[in-house]
Amino acid sequence: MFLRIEKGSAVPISRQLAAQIEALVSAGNLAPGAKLPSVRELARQLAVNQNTVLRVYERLAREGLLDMRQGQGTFVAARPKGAALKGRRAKLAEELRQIARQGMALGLSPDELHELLSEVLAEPATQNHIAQIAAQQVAENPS
Amino acid sequence: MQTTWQALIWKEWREHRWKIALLALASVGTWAALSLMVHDPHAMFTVAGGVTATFGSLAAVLLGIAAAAREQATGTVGFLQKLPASPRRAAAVKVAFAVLGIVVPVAITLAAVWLANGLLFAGQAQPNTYDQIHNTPLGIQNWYAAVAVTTIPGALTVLAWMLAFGVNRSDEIRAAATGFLAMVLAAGAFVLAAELLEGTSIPREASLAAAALPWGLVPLLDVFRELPGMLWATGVVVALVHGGFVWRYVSRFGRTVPVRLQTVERKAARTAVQSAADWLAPPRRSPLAAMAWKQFRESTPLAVLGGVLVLGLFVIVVIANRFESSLRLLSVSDLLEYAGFVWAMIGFAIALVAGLGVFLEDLRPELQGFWRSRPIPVGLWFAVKLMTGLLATIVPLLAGLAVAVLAAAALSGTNVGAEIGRNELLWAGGMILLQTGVYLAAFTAMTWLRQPIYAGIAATISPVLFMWVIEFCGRMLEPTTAVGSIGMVTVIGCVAGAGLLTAAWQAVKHDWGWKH
Amino acid sequence: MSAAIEMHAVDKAFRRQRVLADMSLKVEQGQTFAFLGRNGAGKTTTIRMLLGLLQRDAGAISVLGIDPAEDPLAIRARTGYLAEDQEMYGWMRVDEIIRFVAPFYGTWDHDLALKYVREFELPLAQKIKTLSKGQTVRLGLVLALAHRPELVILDDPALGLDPVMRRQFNRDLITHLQGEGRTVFYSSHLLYEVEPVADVVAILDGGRVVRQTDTETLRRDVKQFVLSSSALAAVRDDLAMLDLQHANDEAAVTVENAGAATALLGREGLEHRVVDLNLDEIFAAYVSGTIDQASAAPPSLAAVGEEEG
Repeated sequence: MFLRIEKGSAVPISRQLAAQIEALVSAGNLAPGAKLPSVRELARQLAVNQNTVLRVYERLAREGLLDMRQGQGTFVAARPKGAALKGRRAKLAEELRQIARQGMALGLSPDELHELLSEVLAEPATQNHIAQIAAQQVAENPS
Repeated sequence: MQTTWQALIWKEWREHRWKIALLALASVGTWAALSLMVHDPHAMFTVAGGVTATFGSLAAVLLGIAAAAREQATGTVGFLQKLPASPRRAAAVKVAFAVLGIVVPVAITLAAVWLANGLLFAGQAQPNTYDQIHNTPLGIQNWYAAVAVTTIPGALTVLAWMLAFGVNRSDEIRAAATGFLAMVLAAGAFVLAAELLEGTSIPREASLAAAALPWGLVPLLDVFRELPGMLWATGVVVALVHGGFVWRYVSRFGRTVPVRLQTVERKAARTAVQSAADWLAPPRRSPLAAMAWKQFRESTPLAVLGGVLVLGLFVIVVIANRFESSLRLLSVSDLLEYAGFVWAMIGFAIALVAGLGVFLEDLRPELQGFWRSRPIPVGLWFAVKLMTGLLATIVPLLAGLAVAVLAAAALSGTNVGAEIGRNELLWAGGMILLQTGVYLAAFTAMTWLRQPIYAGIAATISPVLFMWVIEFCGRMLEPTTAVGSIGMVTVIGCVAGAGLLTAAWQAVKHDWGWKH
Repeated sequence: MSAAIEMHAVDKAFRRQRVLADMSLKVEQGQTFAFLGRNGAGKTTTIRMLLGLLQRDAGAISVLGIDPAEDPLAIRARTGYLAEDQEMYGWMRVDEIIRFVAPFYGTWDHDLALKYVREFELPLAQKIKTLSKGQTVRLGLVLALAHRPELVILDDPALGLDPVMRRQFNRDLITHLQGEGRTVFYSSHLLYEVEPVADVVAILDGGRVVRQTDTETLRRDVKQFVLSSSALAAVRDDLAMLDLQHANDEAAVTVENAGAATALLGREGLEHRVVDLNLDEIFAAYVSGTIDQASAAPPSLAAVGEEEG
């Protein structure tokens, strides 16, 4: 698992970690059931306080993304719970709101913003990514 | 705007002014104290001759080693290197101030003699005939000028040797050790060469070589008194050799790479080899053993050098004086006298430097935190350092003396034991006490002054002060019996020792002392 | 469980210069406590007092339940200390200094010392004066840790280490100290350097601790608001301001009660923009924040126009 910490950023370290683990899970780089490094190992690897790593794992477990099993370690939850997805959806909406504000500040109209988003979605790289995720979902839920 | 020269001169002036003032004060004070002890108007001239030579040489040694290695010891040499001016300029200014530091004390002492003569004796007092014209060089009739033209160049030659051989050493004590070793080796080589060449007909001009030695020009002034041409030649040799030494210093000063930078390059090569030697011996048995080990390691190198110097100088003196003036071979008592003399002289110098060295490192601000922050009782640390340092100094010196005495016995083939009586043993005991006293004085001065130069001056004049106190008390109390005199001296000695110890202990305990 | 370090209303002055004024702080056992301040703020003075190397003028100090003024040796025996830029005896070899220091500690673990030496890749037979900066700091750590101290005090240990060495140092700290439940008191002047490792940070300024909390709370509480000068005038009294700048008729105000401020501005319906600050900015707001009083009353545009005309 490759994570990186940006020191001196305006984003707290725990939030940086949580966001990267979430991203790895949703992109499928961490498959459901995969084992994560122990708190101690990850803390040492990143040179980060063990309590910070523990807090991140605990929060993601509460959100249903991870599964902390006593004495065995931490795993990616078999099926991320709806609450976790809902939380991430809310976060995405917040990010889009920020982008929309920036667009307005640049003098773009709502229509122009829609157009821009469509253009990005139509790019080949994005199309490939969408196809990958769809294939994964089919593999996981054959019905 | 200030020029580089002005800036450098300002810096050296700030660093030297008190040293020079203290040297001048010490020189005049010692002359006054010693002159007052003798009730003879001639004596002040005799004393002044000795005092100016001593303090001129002391200034040469102290300022020489400071110029050679002080910036290295304080870690400021890197700063000088980074200045956009050649380190040669800094070195040249340092030499100039060292010369000033030799000239000023001598000049002020001579001025004091002149003043005292004018005020007390209406200018009528005369030097002894022995000190007068016959001993003066170049036919100079004026006693003051005669002293100045022998003492100042003589001290300057010592300065040149110290600068040339102490340059860029890591601290002043090392610079002093290297400088002294170089001078003794040179003197030894000269005497040995003279010895080997003896009997072959060598021209008198060959003795010009002596001009290369420290103080070597002074006897030559006498030898060539009647030969102006040879006097000029002497001057040229002295100037060339010692000018070369000063040039060596000026051109090399500060031209070294700091140790830490060198390691980066060396490290890669080394670590591979050394990771194999991955074995750690058990800890030292006790805190006491650890402290004693450390002090032993810090003190012995200098004292061993002292022991070797005692032997080396003894050999040189014996060879140089193989015949008495009456061309009789040296007797065993002569040999013993030389051994004792050399031991007393070297012992004094080594005890002084050793005393300065005991707390030289441990009281540096960068290192104090290291031992003070550990569970080390300060009292034990102080006591162990003091005692181990003293033993590690006295014993190697005595060992040097013992070997010299045994050599004397072997050379003369007589029973040395018969020659050493109660008086000789008492004298040796007194010398050991003197060494202990000087060691203690230097040790105490260092804990308070924290700079080898100032502490060295203070420790050098301490025996004079001590003698002066004894003289003063003797006049006040007028002890009539030998027992009474010895008792008085013992009491004064004990009081002085206890005072020094208490002062040093307070300085170390509370970290009092002069912080620069 | 008592606190590992407690300072209460401590004063300290050197000659006339007051360094610490009514300073209090508390470090719980097992915490990694980062002690922050600008150079010369009194960090080293505080640490020297904790070890009994300096005496306080007033107040109370307790380290591991002991008053350092009364029994400094007991504290030093149970504490590991690494000074800022610590120099050691250059003439000793690495193995010699370890063997020299060992007998002073009753709890010295020679095997542990050797283990650290191997982990830190220190060359045992090399003289200390030839070690690199990073190696010197690591040797200092060996000498501060091999007696398994309950409390470790590190005075700006990362100073002078390169970024790679700093990261390695933080890693050592986490593995060897946090991993073993020791209390760590760690001084620095770089907040972002200590963020990854610290449980709690305390900011020292003007001779006292101005804030003691964990970094996430600090980020949540300290934010910058950009709003119009008139809006600021309306809420000014309810803001815990650290820093205030004016530009034209806008004001940028850094507060340490961001939650309350957001709620207040929302209630009053005042338009504003919230800026998340990075830790350097937060630190700067505490130790060098200024309230721009001169232009507190916004100059009217008319007045400016008149001057120009």
